[in-house]
Amino acid sequence: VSPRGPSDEPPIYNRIAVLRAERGISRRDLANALDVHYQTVGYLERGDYHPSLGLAMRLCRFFDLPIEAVFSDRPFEPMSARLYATPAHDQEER
Amino acid sequence: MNHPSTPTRPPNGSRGYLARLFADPRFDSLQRRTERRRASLVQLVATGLLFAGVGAAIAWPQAPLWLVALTTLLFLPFVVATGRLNASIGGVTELRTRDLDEAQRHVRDRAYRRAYFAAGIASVAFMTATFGYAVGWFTGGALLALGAVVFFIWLGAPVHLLAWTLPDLEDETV
Repeated sequence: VSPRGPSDEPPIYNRIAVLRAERGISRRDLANALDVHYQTVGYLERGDYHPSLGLAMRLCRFFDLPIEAVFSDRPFEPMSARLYATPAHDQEER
Repeated sequence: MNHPSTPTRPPNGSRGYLARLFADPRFDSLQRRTERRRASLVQLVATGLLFAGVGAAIAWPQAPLWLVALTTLLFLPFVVATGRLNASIGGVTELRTRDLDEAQRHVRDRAYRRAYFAAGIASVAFMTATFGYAVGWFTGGALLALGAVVFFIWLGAPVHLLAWTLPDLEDETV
């Protein structure tokens, strides 16, 4: 029983795994900081569980990022594309 | 004005004894999928043996002392197997709600919903069988065995359902 919500629930994407890897934080460390079980971090990363607003805000506060940088209702583009995209490349894409 | 806040887990230090026990990393190896399923099967066998012993002691007029002693002894593997099964699912069904985080509560509640749906169906089957017993379709022994199964589903199905369906434990150090 993975803790996914109802199947008709719209997906919520997140960057938790990327942010955690980028900052070299283990699941257990993040779980301790958020006061959740470390498997819950796995559920969140895989999108198996959508966090409550309170937990989402604790996560954002931990990473010191605004909520739209961590969660989105649309798939995130890769960080590398965002970091290294040139204005010309952006124009081409549009 | 104070707004009601969403209840969250108490800080580590104020969690109950059981919560701290189930969080012990020594139980982590039990929480691998294969270990959980093994614990479930072992508990099913231990429960089956215990029920068989109790059933035999009830059905046997003037049951001999060795049978009563054996049935009493069968409680020991049952208790150990049940504890092992509970540990394998992180004690999700045993812990107080305030000791669980929101995802654990979600997992637990969903397992209860599914298991109790199955238990409801089993109870209807038992009531039908009781009617069948009244009109002579079933023997008393068959009704007792079915009753034991229904009793077990009510009590044990959520734990076994979790043991078989929870995702595999991830490496917490990654």
